Amino acid sequence: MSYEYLNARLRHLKARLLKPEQFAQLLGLSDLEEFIAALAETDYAPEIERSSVEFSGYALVEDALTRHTQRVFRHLADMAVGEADTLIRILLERFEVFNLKTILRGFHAGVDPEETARNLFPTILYPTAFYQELLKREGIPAVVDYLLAVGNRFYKPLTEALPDYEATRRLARLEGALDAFYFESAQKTLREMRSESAEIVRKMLGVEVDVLNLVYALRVVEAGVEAEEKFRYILPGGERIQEPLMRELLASLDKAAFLRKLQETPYARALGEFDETITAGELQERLEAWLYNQNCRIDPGRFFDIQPVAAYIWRVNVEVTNLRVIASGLWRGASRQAVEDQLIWVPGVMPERERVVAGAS
Amino acid sequence: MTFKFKLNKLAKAVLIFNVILLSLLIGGLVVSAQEEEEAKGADPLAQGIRAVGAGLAFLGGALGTGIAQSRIGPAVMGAVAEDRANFGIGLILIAIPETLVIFGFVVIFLL
Repeated sequence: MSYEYLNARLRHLKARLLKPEQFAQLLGLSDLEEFIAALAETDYAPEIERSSVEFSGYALVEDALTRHTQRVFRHLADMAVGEADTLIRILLERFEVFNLKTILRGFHAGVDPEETARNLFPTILYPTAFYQELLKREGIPAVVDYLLAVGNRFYKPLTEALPDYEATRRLARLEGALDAFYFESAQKTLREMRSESAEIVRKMLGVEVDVLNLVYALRVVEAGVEAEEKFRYILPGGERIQEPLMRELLASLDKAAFLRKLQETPYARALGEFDETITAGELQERLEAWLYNQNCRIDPGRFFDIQPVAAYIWRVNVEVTNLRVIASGLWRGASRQAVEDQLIWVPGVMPERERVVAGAS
Repeated sequence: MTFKFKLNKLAKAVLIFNVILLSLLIGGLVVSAQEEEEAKGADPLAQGIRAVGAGLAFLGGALGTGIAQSRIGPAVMGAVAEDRANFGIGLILIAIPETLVIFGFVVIFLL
């Protein structure tokens, strides 16, 4: 596989991503119509034009963002052949898993399907109609039945975890089963590929596994769960924290002990300074911010492997998520502070937060 | 940071082609040098070694060109696929490594 060909083409796609100064401008807008007009001046123009025929207001933005993301991801997938194609599919499948988890969460919490649909990330591996059908189901068992009926491979882990969920009503059982299935199958495929690029993707996924495991571990320790069962839900395939160390973290007697052990892991630097008041939510926020920062900026100087593609996929994720947050904030009339708190601040992709805040005040 | 260098299929094909070409070239040069020296009555061994040196100089240049072009070529193809305006600059970029072969030729004639 020639990554030179793929990465040369990718440069053109990257050049069309929104610049930090464009985000700063969008953040300064006070009206959704202004936002739509500003977006129509960017690479989103064809989608804004097309969506405006059918929709208006926030629905227009939603539709345009979905169409745009699908266009760029399809373009990316069409450029790749062989090994790169497989790697791109593995990277994009993360979003399908994210969507399935969002739908399960929506049914679990009894959220309006329309609201759930607004939280789905645009994808290309499964068609939009597939998710629309899933959202029409009456509950989680019906979702699993539908996955089985259409032959979707994620029916398997969900079928296995469903009785457990029905007995405990704990959504983490289903979410954990989906994550474990995705990461295990992806890492198995990547190991078999035996190439430098496959190894890069495998390590990226391994770091994500570490982050998920750490957040899970702190939640368990915070809740004071003592049952042996807690060890069952450690995701396999961590990159920097192997299972014995993760078990040790999970076995911590209290939060203070957990945080002391955490200081000795490779993630202590990523977390920055923290004390015993840190919550699982804050830990998750910090680790995710670090993960976005790492993965969006792994490509400088790389031309002969998959890293530029992986970074591009992460940047599109950040761009679309942030555009949604800004548009949704304008639509709902949320405060500027609330919008800023929800944005993903990746240097180089977004403007510096301090400058944006200073400019607003 | 580690740098792993792997030859792709195209680079391997170029490499094999160049090795065959060079073997023929070196063989031919040695034979012609021997004939020339025999005619002049000079040491044929010295002339033969000189010819091998000339062949090696060409080998280095040709290998470098093959490897560089095998990587620049696909990159240029990708850039042209996105924007045909890149064709001109792409052609120049593909041609630049040819200078390495020219250096090899120059050395042959110098020897």
